[in-house]
Amino acid sequence: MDLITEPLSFAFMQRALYAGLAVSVVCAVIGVFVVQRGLAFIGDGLAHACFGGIAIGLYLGTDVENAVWMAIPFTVLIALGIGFVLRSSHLRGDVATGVFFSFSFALGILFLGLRSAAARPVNVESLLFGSILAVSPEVLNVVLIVSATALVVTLLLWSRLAYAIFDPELAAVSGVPVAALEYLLLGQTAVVIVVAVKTVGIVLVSSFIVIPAAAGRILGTTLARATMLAVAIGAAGAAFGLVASYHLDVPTGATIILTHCACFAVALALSRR
Amino acid sequence: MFESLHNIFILPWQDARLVFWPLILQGMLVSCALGLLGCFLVVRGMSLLGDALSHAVLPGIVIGFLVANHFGTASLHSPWILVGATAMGLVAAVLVELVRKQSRVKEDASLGIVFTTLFAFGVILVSRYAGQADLDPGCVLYGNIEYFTSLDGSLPDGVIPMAVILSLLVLGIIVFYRPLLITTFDPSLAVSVGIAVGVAHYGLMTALSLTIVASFEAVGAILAVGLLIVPGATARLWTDKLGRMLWFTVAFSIVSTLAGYWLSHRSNLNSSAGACIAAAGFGMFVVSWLIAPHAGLLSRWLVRRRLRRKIELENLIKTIGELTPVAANPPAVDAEALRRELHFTPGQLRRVLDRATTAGLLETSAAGITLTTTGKARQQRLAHAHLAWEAYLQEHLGLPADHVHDAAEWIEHYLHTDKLAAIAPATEPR
Repeated sequence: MDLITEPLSFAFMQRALYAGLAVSVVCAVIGVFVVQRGLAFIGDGLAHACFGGIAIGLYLGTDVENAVWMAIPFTVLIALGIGFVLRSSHLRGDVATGVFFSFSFALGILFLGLRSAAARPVNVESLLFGSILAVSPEVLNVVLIVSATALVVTLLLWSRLAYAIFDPELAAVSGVPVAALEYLLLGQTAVVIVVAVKTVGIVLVSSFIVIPAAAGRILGTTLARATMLAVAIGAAGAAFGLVASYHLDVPTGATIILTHCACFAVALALSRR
Repeated sequence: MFESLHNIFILPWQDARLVFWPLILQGMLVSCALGLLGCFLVVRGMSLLGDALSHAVLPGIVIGFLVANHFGTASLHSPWILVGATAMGLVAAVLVELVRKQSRVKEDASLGIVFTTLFAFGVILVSRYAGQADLDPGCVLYGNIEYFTSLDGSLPDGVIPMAVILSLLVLGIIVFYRPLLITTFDPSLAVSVGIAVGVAHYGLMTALSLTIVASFEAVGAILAVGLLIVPGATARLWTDKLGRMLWFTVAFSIVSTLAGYWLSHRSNLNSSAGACIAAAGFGMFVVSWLIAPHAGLLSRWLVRRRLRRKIELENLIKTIGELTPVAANPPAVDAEALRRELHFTPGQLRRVLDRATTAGLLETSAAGITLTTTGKARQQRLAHAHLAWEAYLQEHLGLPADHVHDAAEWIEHYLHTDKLAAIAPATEPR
């Protein structure tokens, strides 16, 4: 028992646990939808895109902590742009994501370069690789509020969203506003990702979105079951990875990803039996 | 006016201290090599493979670095790093195929799983051997094409390897063009005509890892992803043919490199050349997305408008026919009755009437609206198409009579003379 209680006696570990659980649960639920829509890379793409928003914020003179408020509208705009290209051309989701992602990253670098020489230099690394062990109480509050809101919105729209994403043509015929729901999904994914990047970093965000959703998908026979499995795997992986990384003295984010991956491998083995 | 244009567009190129042609050459080599490979990824729906591989090769880079360290040649330019990264790229490609085949997940999801896992593995390796592996993430992310230079004007270090890679790529594409074309567009056809699809796939993956790692230092991992797919995606908007797409891609790559250098010049943005090249590429993508023939927003809008106008016009003529009693000299139709029947707004009705009058299909007098001879012929053709389609659906698909009207309401606008002739024999004798 000490193996679990000892690391969690530290306040920063508790905050890491809460943040990890919140982000993994909301990412797993969103992940089921975006992976189905062929947008598995949206997490990765938007996580990089938010760098552009942060850089614009810095250029306009905000400090690093508050630049996230600039990153949210910017990333939402990029997400809607991806949705627009997706709907109005024959290019696929991966192309739309990739084009916008490299553009916003380039924009970020340009804006960082345009800042006057007198401005305080920023550590780009800290912008890109948030650390789950360094979540401040204020950031934790934001994470909890955003995750809860996104979760509530998704659950309220659950059945219509599922209809629109899994069978868009039939849904459109039955009068479901497919386009609006898709934009809503993309927009709220963007908000969740900006906040998640701030807490857990870019690569961990992608893995939170893709791996639990994929694992839930291959085991779950219905959408509800797949989602519940995804949530369980996401949350368990975050908690286990956090504790394990403490004992093994290895980077936490990487340990969580490897735990998720192990869960996926087990799910794969179970589904093949 | 002319002088200011000269200052903006020409002068930057004449500043010999700032324009390093070897550097521009390097940028063109990198973006052409990445762009050519990117075409295949864009068509196959694997655009983010570049990003995935650039993360997935991290363990390979660390292992390569450690091996180089062991032999006492620790530097980021060591060939061991290139070997390690390319090998790891191949491992990643094999794993992606494995996960995709073993589970029901889509290819991009399987890619997402593999790349995050390998990256996590790489991060743990770095943390274990941090003291020995002095890797600079800033360089990997940003890249710095400007550092690829020697100020005395000789060729930068990276030019020769990159030129070799590009020549090999071009040679590979020319020699294996047919098999690549078929595997890219139709893998199952490729299998049935005896092409080694696996060899083609892994060959592409090897080339990709090698090129991406070689471009890291010039443009950075993330901008490499942009150079990889933006020219290809732009070319895809202009053409459906792979051969033409490759030529377009080369052109877009070269133009965005030049435009990017120009943008990054001291008198313009004075900023990172790599980022400016990526931004210029995005600019070309947006313009193409707006104006490209067929796929562009503008042309799609025009096509839709033409179709909408045609349907409006034909519905108008049809309704006039329906409102006109069968008589030798039928009375004119009242415009207001017509408007109510069609659910048009007054403005809409006026515009459609204007177009129909210009086309010589109807005449408006004080008494109302009457069809001209041409208009009557058009109306009869529509009615014929409608009846023909209803009969066709009933006879050939066995649909009940009360189910065929709505379908015919739409199809009548698309049934042209030749298609009508094709289905009419079945229906005419009634």
